[in-house]
Amino acid sequence: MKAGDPIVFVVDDDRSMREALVDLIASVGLSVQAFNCAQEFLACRKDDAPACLVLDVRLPGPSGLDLQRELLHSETPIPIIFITGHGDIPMSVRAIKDGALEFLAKPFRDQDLLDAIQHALELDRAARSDRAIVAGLRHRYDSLTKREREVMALIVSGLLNKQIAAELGSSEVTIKIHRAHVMRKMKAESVVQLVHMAEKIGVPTKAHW
Amino acid sequence: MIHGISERHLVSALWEAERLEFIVRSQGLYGFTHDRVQEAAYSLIPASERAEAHLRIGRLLKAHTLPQKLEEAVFEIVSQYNQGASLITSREEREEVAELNLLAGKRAKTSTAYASALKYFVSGATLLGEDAWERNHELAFALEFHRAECEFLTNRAAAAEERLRMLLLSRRAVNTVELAAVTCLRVDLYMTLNRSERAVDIGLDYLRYLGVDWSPHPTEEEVRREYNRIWTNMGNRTTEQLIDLPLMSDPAWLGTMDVLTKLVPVAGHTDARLNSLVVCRMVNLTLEHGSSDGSVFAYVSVALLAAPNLGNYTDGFRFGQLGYELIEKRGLKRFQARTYTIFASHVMPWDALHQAQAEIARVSQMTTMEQLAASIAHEVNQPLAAVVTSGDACLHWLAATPPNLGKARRAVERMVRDGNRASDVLKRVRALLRKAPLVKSPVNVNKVIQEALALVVGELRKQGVEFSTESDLNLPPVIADFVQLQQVLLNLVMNAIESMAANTNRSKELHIQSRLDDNAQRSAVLVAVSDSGVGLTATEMEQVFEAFYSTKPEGMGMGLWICRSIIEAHGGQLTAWANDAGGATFQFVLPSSTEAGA
Repeated sequence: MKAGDPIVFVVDDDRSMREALVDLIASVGLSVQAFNCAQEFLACRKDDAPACLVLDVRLPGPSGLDLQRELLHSETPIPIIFITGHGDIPMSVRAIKDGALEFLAKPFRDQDLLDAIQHALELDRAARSDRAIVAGLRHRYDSLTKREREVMALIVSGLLNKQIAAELGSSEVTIKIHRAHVMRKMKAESVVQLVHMAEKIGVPTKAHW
Repeated sequence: MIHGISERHLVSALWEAERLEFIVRSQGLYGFTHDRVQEAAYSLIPASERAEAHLRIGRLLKAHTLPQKLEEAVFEIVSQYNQGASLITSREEREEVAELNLLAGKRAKTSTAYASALKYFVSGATLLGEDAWERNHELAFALEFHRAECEFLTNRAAAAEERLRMLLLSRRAVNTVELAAVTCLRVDLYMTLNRSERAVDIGLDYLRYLGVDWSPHPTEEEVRREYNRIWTNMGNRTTEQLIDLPLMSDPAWLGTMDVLTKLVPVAGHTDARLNSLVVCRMVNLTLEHGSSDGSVFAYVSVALLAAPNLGNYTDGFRFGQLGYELIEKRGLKRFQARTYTIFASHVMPWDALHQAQAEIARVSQMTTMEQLAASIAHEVNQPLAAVVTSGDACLHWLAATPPNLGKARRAVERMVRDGNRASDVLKRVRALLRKAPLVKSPVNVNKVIQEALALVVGELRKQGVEFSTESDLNLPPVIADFVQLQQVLLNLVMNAIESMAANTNRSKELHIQSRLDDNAQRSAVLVAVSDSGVGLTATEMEQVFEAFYSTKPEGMGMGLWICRSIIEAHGGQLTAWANDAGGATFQFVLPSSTEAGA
């Protein structure tokens, strides 16, 4: 397995099911790593690679739903496919509401699980590159001075230099210089691009009135 | 042979077929070389002539089978006859073939092939004309009765009951023996349908036919009178001498004992006094007409009755001993399992504990059915889901180019393992798949303790356990099913004994306490069973109550789970903890009746 290759994690306390899942996932050429309980999974170090989690609802200790809650608020959320021995509808609704990708009752069709895994890995790959982009943008944004950030907020709100100067009690020339710095440091080629970047990292904008 | 030609002619007639290897000749017999050849030969016989051929074969087989070999060959003979049955016209031959069908059906029934047995009984009955009931009553009745029994055994209870009812209504069950057989089957049938009141009525109807008119709810006085009659009947004889009573031989009395034996557990659900009355009558019939299988069961049941209810422990135990010895010495083993289960104390060998557990499971089944179903479903579904997933994985490995046979094989090995695991779960729960209703009434827990101890006192002594009780004699009653509570206590005591089995340096002590629960908000009664055994770890304290949890290799892991379910069904709580001085305490708290009634 190369670094960066996708990996599927399995958490199921039933040995038979765990072994079968590992084998099924391996049989389509995917890397897979299995755990007995939620704690074991959390304790394991994960490589920086697209991943998804096939998770049994009923586990000893913290349940699958507890683990889902915990991962939801972590820095590296991971797409979750739930599997369960009980076709419990309220439970599946709760899991899906909390962002689970799929809720499969055992026994499931192998294709349903494998499709869900492929879909989950795609989503995670996209989410990861998105997170990388956002991290880069945030890094650039952090390099701006306090004044430049104020100017940027007003640019992306659609204000002209003159209006920004009035807003900040400064001269138009000074604003022009700040604006050039913002565009350079943020590596934005146009105001439209800057607006997109601001949206991604959540720069506050000033409402029009 | 079928064509009635001589051997010499046969050999020359079949020479060509033998040469072409359609048939082979071995030890003077011809056989087809292959099933397909036989099928082809069969299809050459015109359909219209096949029935006739079958009939001819049936007759020849019958004629050439020695009477002592008949039972062995009966399936073959009957199968041929039945395919040609429509062509049999003579009444004598039709009855003869019906008789063969009866024999085949009985044999099939013995080997539990109930569906096939049913077919034989139906074929037999169809062969008989209406006049058979007068001409050959025994045959007609037997076919009809066995047919009903097989219908019942193949889940056609309604059809079975209709048939049995008609046997009675049309007065076709003409004597005591036949009436007893029909009654026993109907009692079973209604118990399976969970209608114990109806089952009691059916049993009492039979007794009324014999001139015994009992109410389904007899008075204390009636029971006392029947019980005292035992001692009158005993005269100067000791219980030990009763082992040598002659065996009961009159089929009518045997039939009656069978009906009464059926009635005992049924009455156990509907009316405790009726239950006692039946047991006492069974002992009296034994004293008057001789020992039978039912006597064994009656003795141990009357022991239970005599000891705690009537305060006669010594005689109670002697009767119990008598029941045990009758099984051993006189070979009256029909109700052996039931007898051992009931008389758990002196006679119950250690491994019969599992029977007692199965009994607990049976009684508590009503209250815990839902939980149990969910639990079993999960336990079975888990390995089955794994089988499906491994199967899918296996298909992937096989579809690879080149196929990965090593991986495929390992997947199949897992499938075999997990399939067996699912099957094991089902084996473990099979004992629980019977029914019994819950009967609640005011119960004095001290009496429950007393009776449970009476049941295990022999075992306690045998194991060298010192036991003591500390009972608050002014406890209010609890509303409960007496039998279930007793079984909970019995189970707790048995567990305690087992946990102390390995005590070598430490003494084996069992203490049972009953008192008002002074911690509870409402009025409640508390019973605690403490032992000096291996104790419990912190994790075990909760796990022991889980279904299928067991520390014993042979344990079902259902005992404590069922106990807790029973106590919870009574609105109480069952908890466990480790004692400071070693050993464990299991305690249950039940709301008292003043509270439960409020």
